[in-house]
Amino acid sequence: MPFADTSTLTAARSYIAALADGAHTIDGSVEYERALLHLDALYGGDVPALAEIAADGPQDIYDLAEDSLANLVGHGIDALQLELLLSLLEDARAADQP
Amino acid sequence: MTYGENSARLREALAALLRQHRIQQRLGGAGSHSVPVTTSHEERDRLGEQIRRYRHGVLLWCRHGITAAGPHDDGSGPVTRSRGPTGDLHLRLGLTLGSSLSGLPSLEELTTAQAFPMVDLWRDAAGAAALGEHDFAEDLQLGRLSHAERMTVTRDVADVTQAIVVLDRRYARIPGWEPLREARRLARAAETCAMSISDNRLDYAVDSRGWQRPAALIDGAPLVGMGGVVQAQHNLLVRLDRFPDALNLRRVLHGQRELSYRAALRARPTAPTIARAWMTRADTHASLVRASRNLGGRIGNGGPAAAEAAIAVQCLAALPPGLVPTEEELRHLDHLFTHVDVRLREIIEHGAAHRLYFVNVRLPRVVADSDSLLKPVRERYVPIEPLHSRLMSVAREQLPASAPRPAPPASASRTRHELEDALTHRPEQRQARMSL
Repeated sequence: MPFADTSTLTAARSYIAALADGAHTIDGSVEYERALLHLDALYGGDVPALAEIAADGPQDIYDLAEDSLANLVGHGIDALQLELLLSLLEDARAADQP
Repeated sequence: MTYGENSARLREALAALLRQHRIQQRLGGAGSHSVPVTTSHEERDRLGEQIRRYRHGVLLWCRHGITAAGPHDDGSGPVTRSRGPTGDLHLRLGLTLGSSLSGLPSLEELTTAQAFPMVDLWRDAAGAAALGEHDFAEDLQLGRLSHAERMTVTRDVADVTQAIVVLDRRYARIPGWEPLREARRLARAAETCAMSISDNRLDYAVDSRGWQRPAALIDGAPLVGMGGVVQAQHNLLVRLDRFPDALNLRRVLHGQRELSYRAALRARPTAPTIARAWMTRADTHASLVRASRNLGGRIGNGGPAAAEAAIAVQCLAALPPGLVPTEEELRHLDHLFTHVDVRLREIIEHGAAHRLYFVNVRLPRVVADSDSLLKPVRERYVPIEPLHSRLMSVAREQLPASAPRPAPPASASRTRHELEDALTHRPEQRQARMSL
């Protein structure tokens, strides 16, 4: 995997994992994990390690996750797959209502 | 069939044989003026040969049993007191078998009903012994038994050996009968061994161990309601028979987390204890999911298992709101949860031990062909370190190593006492009077 792909994917994975860890509800955490698994499956499970991210508010992390996912277009996923991922992320946020 | 089923069948046949006397008559020979002679000397000789083949099969079972209850020394040295009662019996059985000229019974002899009931009882004993050998090759192998289970198997072998020696003496007048070599020493070794093991050291739970029929998929149309959840969870357990690759292992763990959580919510109104246990299981799987986010490994095929895990979640989510599972459904699901967790722990340990799973970690390394002064941090896969991996520690600390064993069957002590009574020549009628 090229280094540019790796760093972009690391960011996307790390933000989604942070959302799963910081979810208010179990339902929300489960759905964020589902999105992370879906993303990893697009790369056949060959994914880079998670990175530590600076602690921001949930909304900021969510926005950064969306941006990093958008950056993945051209780095191994296409526009349709991106839309599916964003949809999963949105479902997870809807399920994560305390 | 389990060890308990096979050994009980063996003991029942031997107890029935021990209650039989007037052996010549039972083989159609002379002995009573009112019963005509129906077999010739040569025919009784052949029947004796056949019985010895059956006996050889039973003795072989004894040898396998005492070996499984080991460890013993190799028997190459002299018989001394230091060998101990179990080691002595192990050695004596080996010598007896080694000197026997009888072979094993053929498949036809084991499966064809015999004309004389006494010979048919021997056939039953030899059949149970033949089936019982599968137990010692599987779950009851050397080193797999607890101390109490080893004592129980040893005691069973000692009782069966004593019965064989008693019958050997009783059959001495059968034409051409080949007595056991050094039968008296064998009897003494078996008796000493049986006496050295007190009843309170026995564990009849060993009866539920042994060869088990492999679980099969529940095919056909998907069941409705909670039945569908149980069906999918059962099929997941069967599918986990194959080692899953890392991605599918993560999918299974994620599915089990969600299933436990949602099942706990369903069970909470009627079974709060089970609901609490399942919520704890959901937390355990959540920890496993988090710990496996950086897991890699392409070897294996877990697709079918991951699909069954997802079907179970879907079936549960599709249940109408307010539907409360029955007590039986909860019990089945709880049983399956335990077995799936045991299997998942085995998979994780196997993957780590054989380096089939890897964790992706950040390791700084020098990039020789880089022009820049700043060396980028590259990713590397390294095998799981059993002592340091978070995944390994969660699996070892929170997943069960083995499923609880079922209670021993009610017949476990009955058949053993019947054989002991037959050995001490205590007829059933007298027992009944004594108990009155």
